[in-house]
Amino acid sequence: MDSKYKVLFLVWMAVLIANRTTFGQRTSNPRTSAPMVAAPAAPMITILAAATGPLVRSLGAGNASLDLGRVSYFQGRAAPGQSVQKRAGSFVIYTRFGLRVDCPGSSSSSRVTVTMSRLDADRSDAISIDGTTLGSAAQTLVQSIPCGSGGEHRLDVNVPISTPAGSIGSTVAFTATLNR
Amino acid sequence: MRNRSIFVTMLVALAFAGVAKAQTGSGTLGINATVQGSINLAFLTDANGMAVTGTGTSTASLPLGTVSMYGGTVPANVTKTVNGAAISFNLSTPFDVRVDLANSASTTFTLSAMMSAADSVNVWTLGPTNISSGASFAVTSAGVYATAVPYTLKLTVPASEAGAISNSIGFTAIAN
Repeated sequence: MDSKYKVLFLVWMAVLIANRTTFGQRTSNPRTSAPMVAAPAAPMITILAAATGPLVRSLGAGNASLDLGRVSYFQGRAAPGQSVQKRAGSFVIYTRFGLRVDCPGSSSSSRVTVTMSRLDADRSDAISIDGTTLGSAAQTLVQSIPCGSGGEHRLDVNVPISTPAGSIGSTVAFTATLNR
Repeated sequence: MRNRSIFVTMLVALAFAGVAKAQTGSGTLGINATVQGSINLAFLTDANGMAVTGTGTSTASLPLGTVSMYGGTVPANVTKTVNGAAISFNLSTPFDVRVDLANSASTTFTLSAMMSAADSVNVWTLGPTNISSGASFAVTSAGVYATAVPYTLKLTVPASEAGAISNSIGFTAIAN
């Protein structure tokens, strides 16, 4: 074998050994041999109902949904766990939800940063969490919280009166990054 | 020299392979709601009318107080007229109705009025329409939203009448 190709072959083998996911191999396959050093797994986000908030429906593995029910500008009877406030030209639905982050395999002193973004930011209804209006770019929800902890957050959905009647829906994405 | 080159290359490759594993986790929160169109009717004090108690709300009243055919006083901006041959007298005042709409494509509304109880003694007139029978009467079929429209309520009291007069008129606005 030509020496140049031999070098490339060795390098490629090394990459394959170091990175199991190359070529789209499933990462969920259980390992039969214990790693030499236990690497911390990715942080896990859990979205929960707040103590005073509406029911949060878990969709598994960090995903959840929140149904604000029927809302209207003039007959804005708020469902349990939420309130509605009229403004000029729009109304705002206020509610709360909880978010918890766990870090399997990390030390008890590990901390995470949580960011949030909206996956459909071009809609007319504005969504704010803890006073920050969400867009497609990630924004910080919490700068640093201990792994294994969480908190409640205020969710505001601003619906203009020009929004046609019917269902509205949006998705907020959260990302937790382990701080080293 | 060549072995050293291979070793360095491997180290670089391993280093990059390690960096590529960012420790992040993700989650999503779907938010759903059903927006319902809504309509609001409010009574307002007209510029030329008596003060509406509860102006700006959908539950208001026109307290005319104690009135008499002859003498006495009436609230400001209430007009009293005695009908010919002194068979009755009228009390009239304009008031405004404003209808607003949200989350609907409707451009006009239909407004109707109906007294809660028929009155066979006194005559209640809204604009040109006698509504005393207690039936529902169309006020307009093409109302304009977000506009205060004056309507004049006239109560005709016969000379034979004495005592309290009380009734209510229900207004219903339906988006077209």
